[in-house]
Amino acid sequence: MQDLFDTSQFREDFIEETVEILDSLDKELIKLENEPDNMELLNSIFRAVHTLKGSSAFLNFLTIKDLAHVVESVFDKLRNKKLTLTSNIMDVIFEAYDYFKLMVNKVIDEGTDKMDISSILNKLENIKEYGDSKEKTSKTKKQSNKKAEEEKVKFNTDTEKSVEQIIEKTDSNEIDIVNKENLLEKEDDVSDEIEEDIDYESETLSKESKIPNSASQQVKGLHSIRVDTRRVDVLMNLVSELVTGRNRLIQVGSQFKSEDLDESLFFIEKVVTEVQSAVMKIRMVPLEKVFSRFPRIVRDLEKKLEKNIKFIIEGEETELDRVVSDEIYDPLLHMIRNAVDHGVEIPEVRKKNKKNEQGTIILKAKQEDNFVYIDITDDGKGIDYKVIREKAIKKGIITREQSDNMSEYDIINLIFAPGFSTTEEVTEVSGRGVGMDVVKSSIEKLGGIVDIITEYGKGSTFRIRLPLTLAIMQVLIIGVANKKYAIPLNSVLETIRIEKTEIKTISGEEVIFLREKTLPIVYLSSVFNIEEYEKMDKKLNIVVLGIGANRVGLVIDEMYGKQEIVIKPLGKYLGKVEGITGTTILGDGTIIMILDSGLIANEGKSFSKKKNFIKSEKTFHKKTINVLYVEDSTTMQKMAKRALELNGYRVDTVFNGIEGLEKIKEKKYDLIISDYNMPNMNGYEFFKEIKNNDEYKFIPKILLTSENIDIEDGEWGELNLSAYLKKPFNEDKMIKTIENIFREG
Amino acid sequence: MALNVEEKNTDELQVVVFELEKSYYGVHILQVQEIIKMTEITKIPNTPKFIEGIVNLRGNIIPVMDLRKRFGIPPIEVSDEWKILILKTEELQFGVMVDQISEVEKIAVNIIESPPKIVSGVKGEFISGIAKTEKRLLILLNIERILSEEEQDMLKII
Repeated sequence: MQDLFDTSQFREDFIEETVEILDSLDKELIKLENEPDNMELLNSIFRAVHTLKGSSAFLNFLTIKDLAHVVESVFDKLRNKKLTLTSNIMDVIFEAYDYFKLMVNKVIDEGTDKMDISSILNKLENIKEYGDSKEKTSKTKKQSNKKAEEEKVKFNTDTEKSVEQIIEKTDSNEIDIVNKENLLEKEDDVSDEIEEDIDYESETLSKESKIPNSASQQVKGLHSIRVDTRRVDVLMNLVSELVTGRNRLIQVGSQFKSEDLDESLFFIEKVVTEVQSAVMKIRMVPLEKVFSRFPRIVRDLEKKLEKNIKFIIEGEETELDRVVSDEIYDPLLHMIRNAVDHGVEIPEVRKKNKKNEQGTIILKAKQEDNFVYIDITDDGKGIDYKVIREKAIKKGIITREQSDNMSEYDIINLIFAPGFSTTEEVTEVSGRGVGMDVVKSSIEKLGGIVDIITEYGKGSTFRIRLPLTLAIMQVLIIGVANKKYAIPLNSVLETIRIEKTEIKTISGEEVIFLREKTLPIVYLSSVFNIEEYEKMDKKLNIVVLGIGANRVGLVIDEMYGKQEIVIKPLGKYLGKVEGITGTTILGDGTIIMILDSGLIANEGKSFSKKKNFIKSEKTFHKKTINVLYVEDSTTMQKMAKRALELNGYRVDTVFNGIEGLEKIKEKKYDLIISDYNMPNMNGYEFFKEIKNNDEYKFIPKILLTSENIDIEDGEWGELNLSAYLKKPFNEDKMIKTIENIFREG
Repeated sequence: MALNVEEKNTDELQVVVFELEKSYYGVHILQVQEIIKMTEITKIPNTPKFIEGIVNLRGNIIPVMDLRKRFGIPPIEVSDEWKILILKTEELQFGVMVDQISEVEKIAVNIIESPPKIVSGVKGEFISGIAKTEKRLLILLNIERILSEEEQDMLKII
């Protein structure tokens, strides 16, 4: 048959159709487990399997056909009440379902469905003939468990792969990535096609009945069209251009005072806004497509881990941009697995703790304003911050001293730190080498944030907030050093104006107190190597950014207000530039950069490992300070030079006082640091020379010595030292001392 | 090398000639998308020094390179008289700042000599050949090379 005509076109159709059938079968089987006597459901499943049998036979996929045939006859008996559905039979049916999936994947990858299905065929035949007999089923059960295990292993590697893909894919914000993905993952063909309801009546109809039965789905099918995602993307890009054009038009229009012009502009603006939201709606898909994959996974896990869990899905009709919806599956999967594995306790433990033996996991979505919130709530054991703290210390993520200054909330958020995983042993279920840090970064790459609300002993909620769409963004336009930048509005908590004097320094970090909480202050120059002016104004404008648990105050010069912008990626050539998530073109044609608020927020994280590095760059906003370091030991020279340079100072080194005096003639220095004990001319003599020179005497001087000295008295007092540092060398102390000198000055 | 690919059957190739620091350079005409006037270039932090920034070309973001910096010629202040040559490869578009665009010149393939190690201070690796025409000495540039090297440099700064 295959030889008679080109079947490749049919094959595509077959795959598409089969994936769709399997998706709805999945839902229906789960439903059937709870309603084994639902005749309508049994009939619907029977019909689906029958269709599968017919189409696979037509395309000569005989293994699929054979399996479908047996499954069909089992369901035939079930619907004719010749067979009673038991949980053991259900297990076998699920196993058969898994085989269907495996075979379809094989067809996609290798073009053939050939595989050994004798064991499942036997089981099904047994059921067909004898129903659920105990003896046989115990054997069956074992096998099916083993099978499930194999499945899981495969599944795990799959997930890992796709998490990697997410990271790769989301590296850039380009929308056309989706196209590539289309080619890569044919498995998700269905979700890559968007069904748009033309008939709004039928849309509301299907929304009302939460799980659409096959009848209403058929009706729906008649009123929807399938559109290639690439076409939608092209349309979306064109709309983006239209939005940019509209912005430009409004800007130009504001220069003419013509009522007619204003009126037509208003009209255009209104229409463009509507076109934009209409196109955006095309891209929106209900989360149902993603959510419906979880009940089965939870069911399998719960059986495997011998837990008793009620899995509730709410708000699956909530719609989300298809790109976001596609990418959110893996992070959600990870968190749901965590909830099953680490969250909900086993029944015995729950009983002992006077909880309902059956645990509950709720997956809930809702839309609020321009965001979609997804909550994963379990009533399990919650997270013990003390355990987290010890692990984090053990793994070197924080030091014990750092942990003393951290709130419980901050500590719990450490589970998102790279290299952190709460379980000791890597379990097959949740410990797959990807940790919560990957989950977090995946979500952040989608422009979302993730938060934890947990109560030890009572349960946890992981709350994800996602933007409705990725293509258009609300931003705050700000100015730093006469340049405009855009900050994604979803990361802006508030903007404040403070007195410059409100900035305090706590252990080398600049902070302000905002409603009794410390807020680290960062400058744009700490992220970008740009010149920032010393702020002359006594008041400072600060944008408070919040990403997850991180809060920082970004010092800015100007605030230009909110705007809706179209994201323009930097393109392949520049790739990903640190600190920038993209660019946008303003109405007047100028390009501005969209700041990576996540990165900026991380800069201000006080327990960041990059602390020194950050602190160093922070000082760049001050004017460059030239330091002369006089010291006869090369090692000491190197150490000090490195420490100083890391903190943004320019450093020259010489070996003794004589050389120091030479050097100081060549270049203007803002600070001299000298050792006391040196050959040829020691520190005391050197500083005395400097002090007696009218040109140099006001340069601040720091002496390094191993003695305790009083810099205000006796022969030391004559030198007019700014400070002295006691040896051995202490980097932090040196930097702080220098900072103090220049702060006072 | 890039210049030869599509010219196998012809004896001549057309190059866009531009001037940079008193030397003449040629780029294959098929690699030139368009020439635009000097425009405002938005600087991008955390990129290599020779990336001058990005420009808005009818709604598209195009990176612009300072060829002087790329070639190791001491950079001078950007002048409004300069032009931006928008080049394209299979995968991407990018601009280079040049002092002056001269003309489109046809050159015979057989006068192209393989590049010496250094020409007018430009590293040989960026050059695909040298052509001595009646008018002048023409340095033919290897666009892919200028770009691919660049990617390596990008990796270095990250």
